Amino acid sequence: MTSHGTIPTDANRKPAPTGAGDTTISGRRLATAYTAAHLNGLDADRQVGAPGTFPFTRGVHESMYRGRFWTMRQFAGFGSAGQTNQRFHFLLHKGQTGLSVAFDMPTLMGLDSDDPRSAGEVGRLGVAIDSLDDMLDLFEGIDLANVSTSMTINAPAAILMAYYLAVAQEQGVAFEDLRGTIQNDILKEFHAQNEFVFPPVPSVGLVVDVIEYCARYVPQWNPVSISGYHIREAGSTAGQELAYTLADGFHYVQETLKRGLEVDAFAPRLSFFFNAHNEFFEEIAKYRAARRIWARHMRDRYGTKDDRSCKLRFHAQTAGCSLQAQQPQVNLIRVAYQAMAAVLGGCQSLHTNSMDETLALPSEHAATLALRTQQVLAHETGVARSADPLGGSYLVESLTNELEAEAEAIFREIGEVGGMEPAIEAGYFRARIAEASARYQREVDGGERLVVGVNAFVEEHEPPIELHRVEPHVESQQVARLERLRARRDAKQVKQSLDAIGEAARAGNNLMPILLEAAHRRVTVGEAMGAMREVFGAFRARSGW
Amino acid sequence: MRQYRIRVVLAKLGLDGHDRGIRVVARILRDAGMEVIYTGLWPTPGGVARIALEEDADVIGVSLLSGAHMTLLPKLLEAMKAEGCDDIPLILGGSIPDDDVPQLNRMGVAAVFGPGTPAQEIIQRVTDLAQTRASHEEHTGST
Amino acid sequence: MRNTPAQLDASEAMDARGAPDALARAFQRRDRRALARLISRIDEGQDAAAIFAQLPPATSPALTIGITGAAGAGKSTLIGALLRHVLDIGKRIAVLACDPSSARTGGALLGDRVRMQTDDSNSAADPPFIRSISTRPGDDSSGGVAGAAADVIELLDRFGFDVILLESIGTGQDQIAARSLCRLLVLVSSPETGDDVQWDKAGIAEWADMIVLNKADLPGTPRTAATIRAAIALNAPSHDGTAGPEFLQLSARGGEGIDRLWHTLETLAARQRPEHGRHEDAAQALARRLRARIARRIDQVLEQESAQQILRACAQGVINVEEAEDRLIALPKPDRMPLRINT
Repeated sequence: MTSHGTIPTDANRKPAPTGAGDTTISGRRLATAYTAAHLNGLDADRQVGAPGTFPFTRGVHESMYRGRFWTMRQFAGFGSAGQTNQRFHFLLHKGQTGLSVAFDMPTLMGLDSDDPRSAGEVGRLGVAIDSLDDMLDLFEGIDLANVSTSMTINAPAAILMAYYLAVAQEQGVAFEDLRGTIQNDILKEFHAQNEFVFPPVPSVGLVVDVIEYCARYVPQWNPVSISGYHIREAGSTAGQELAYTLADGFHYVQETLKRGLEVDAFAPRLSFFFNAHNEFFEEIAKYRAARRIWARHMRDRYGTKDDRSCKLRFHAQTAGCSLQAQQPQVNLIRVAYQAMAAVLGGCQSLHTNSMDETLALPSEHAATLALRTQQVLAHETGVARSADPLGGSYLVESLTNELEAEAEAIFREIGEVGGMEPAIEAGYFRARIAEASARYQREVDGGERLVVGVNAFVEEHEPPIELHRVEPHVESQQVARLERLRARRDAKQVKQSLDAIGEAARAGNNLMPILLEAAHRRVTVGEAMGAMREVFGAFRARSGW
Repeated sequence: MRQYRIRVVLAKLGLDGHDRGIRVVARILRDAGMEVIYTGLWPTPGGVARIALEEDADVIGVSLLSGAHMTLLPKLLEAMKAEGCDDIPLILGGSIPDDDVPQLNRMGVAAVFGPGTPAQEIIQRVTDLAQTRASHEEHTGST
Repeated sequence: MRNTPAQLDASEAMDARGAPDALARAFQRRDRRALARLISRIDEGQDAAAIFAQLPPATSPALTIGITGAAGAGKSTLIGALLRHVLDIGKRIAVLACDPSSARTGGALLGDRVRMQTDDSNSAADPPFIRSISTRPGDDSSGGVAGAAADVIELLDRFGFDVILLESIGTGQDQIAARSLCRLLVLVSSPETGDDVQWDKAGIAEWADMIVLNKADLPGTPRTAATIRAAIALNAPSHDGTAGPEFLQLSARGGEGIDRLWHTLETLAARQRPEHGRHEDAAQALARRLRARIARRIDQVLEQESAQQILRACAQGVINVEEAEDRLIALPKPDRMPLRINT
């Protein structure tokens, strides 16, 4: 990497802070010290309660990590389905019970490996999946009844879910026995990550198709992981991450209710995914506020009778955007503190980033250290012994209240813009996130906020670190494989399936049954997406500067 | 006062949609007084070359985080050649391994910026590239 | 139609980036690079009259259409759909998009809105030409278009486009300048942006040749449509005796209604005398255009050292303001804008 020995000599540059300063990275001003006066007459029973009881501020389980630690779920996937399958077997052999699939960019965007737009990207950042054949290879020799699988996929989620179900059928595993999570959260793609294809309304329709289908037929599956992670990565504040994510969750609830399902038939299976960023106490308060807001809204707005519908369960991942290219080993330290915040905040599963992720996909060495970070946290620090150890802290309770109030204010603002879909169309979320991101960048560029190794404590000469390289052959192999598939399969059946997808999309029917049939007929991801695009159209976002 | 302003076309090449970095760069260059034409997501290499030509760009900046730079950059340079605008300097930002930089330079990439490059460094480099090119044009224009 | 670089020899290719004379020659061969460069020269404030003196007039004037409306109404999507339609029927089209620039730094973020809607038109035989320009300090920004827009449109016209679309900034109000620059003005609205208040005071409804209610698949369409119809009825018949603006509901995203929109625009254009718009007097349009040019010349005058001396003298109280004014007016016109880099 280039070394950055110089710091911008901007005339506007403010003097570098010598003390802690009073504002969080999200721009929240903190008091010098917190006392009972900051709690504003907090009703401890009603607002905080005990772990495992409503409103679940202190955690969704009574004993939290006493019985079982959080799941250490590291995301993996690269190259061809066969290569990733080997990695899965290796991980299962090491005692891991959960798999987490990372797909490559073409698959995430619903493109086949032989699409010209996929050139150079096949199998690079994850595994390439074009058809059921690839999915069968991916899970070759793995009994789907005995693993929990997490799939990070959004715009084409319904298609990949159908492929997974088709693999189960081929293995003779009942849908009732399938466990796992599919991310299937398109709203945050519109707000932040940009992996959308169709316009908001039909996109949400597809998300709800999966929620509805799983509620009816795949009861142990989490059909959506409502994600704030990417919103934060795009530069939002903690409060925006919290509010936008929950607003997305409520939107999915409302849209699923329109399908005629009882709220308690699907809400217990809604899961969440948050960022674990640097600002330690604000992050912990964010998770606590999220649980309280979700519980209250589910009970008071949606009339749940089942406590499980009120419990916000979440996966956390340390903040990729906080990692720096300079002095990359320092990232290990950042990740450790972030992971501790996630655990103190009561996460159900956690991914710790590798120190080299700003530079390349994780090397094996870096990935191992990331996992070790979690193991030290679990087995050596003792932070997991008691549930919600910071409950009752003047600072943390006060921040929890503040974040809750901020989220409620943002919900009202979204309402004023016209609700979820109009707000997306108007570029509301993107503009707000861009503002927050620009503010943070100005603070760093102006030297008001120090980032170790970047604008302070810079090393003139950094030793290089070892990086992972991707094999270049996957793309041509995948393209050839697809060509053989297209020649081999029954073209008439494929056409029938594509027509049926179009018809169902036009009629507004749940697409899952047809996608499942299409999977068996070896309809590719790109073809199924194409058939839907004919009906739904494509979406281009406003930049929202 | 009407005067020459540096025009920069910024492109997010490839499929990945992580545009936080390029949007920050767009704001930085705008705040330095430049006109920034952002291509939006998912432009093709041919599309970027055409935009650069029609917008009369002084510099093209490409952001790539997907690791596909060794595939997509040659395609872009080829497209620029086909459009007849391969004299426009090309700069690249994103996760680019050090090992690839010499080869990218040989292909014709004028500068590669890694993550965390200071704003001032980017502004300075873009300004230098635009000025070098402008003075070259003044020279050829007067003959 | 299009000059590929392969058809140019090395010196000509160099010309296309070089001096105005060489650019003018390349322009006449319909070299797109030369067009792009000449637009920059005009935008930078170089002498438009001198540039035009080297270029033959348009053989058949383009149909110029201004597209205006509030942010979020879907102007870019509409332009994208219209552009595809016009390409499909074999016409050559250019789009000029105007964006605001920062008064403080002069910087601007341009053009992504239209661009994103049209990138699938790359493969067209005679591809569309899309260019963004920004307003500059000193432009009459209430008009919603950049000061150089008039001359750039003229340049595009002489290049031989059949249709030129001008996208205004989109403040939703005061888009009168677009009116004077184009033969037809289309106001785009949507059920989300077309609130009643705006229509009540809207002078624009009187100026527009067409009002398009976009996103007509959204709820709220009938209510907004009724409001717009009422506003049109209130304003019609207009002062020159013709009927009020045409009204059309469509959904640009789905491509629905675009052929009807184009048909209506062609019909409206055929009804007009080609040399100027329906409401705007030709002389007035000319005055607006010349005002922008003259303002640029004044900037050039003020930049000269002789002007700076007068200004300093006035600031120091050596001469009074009236005297400074007279002396500045009397200064000779500078030959050519020096190329300057803003650092």
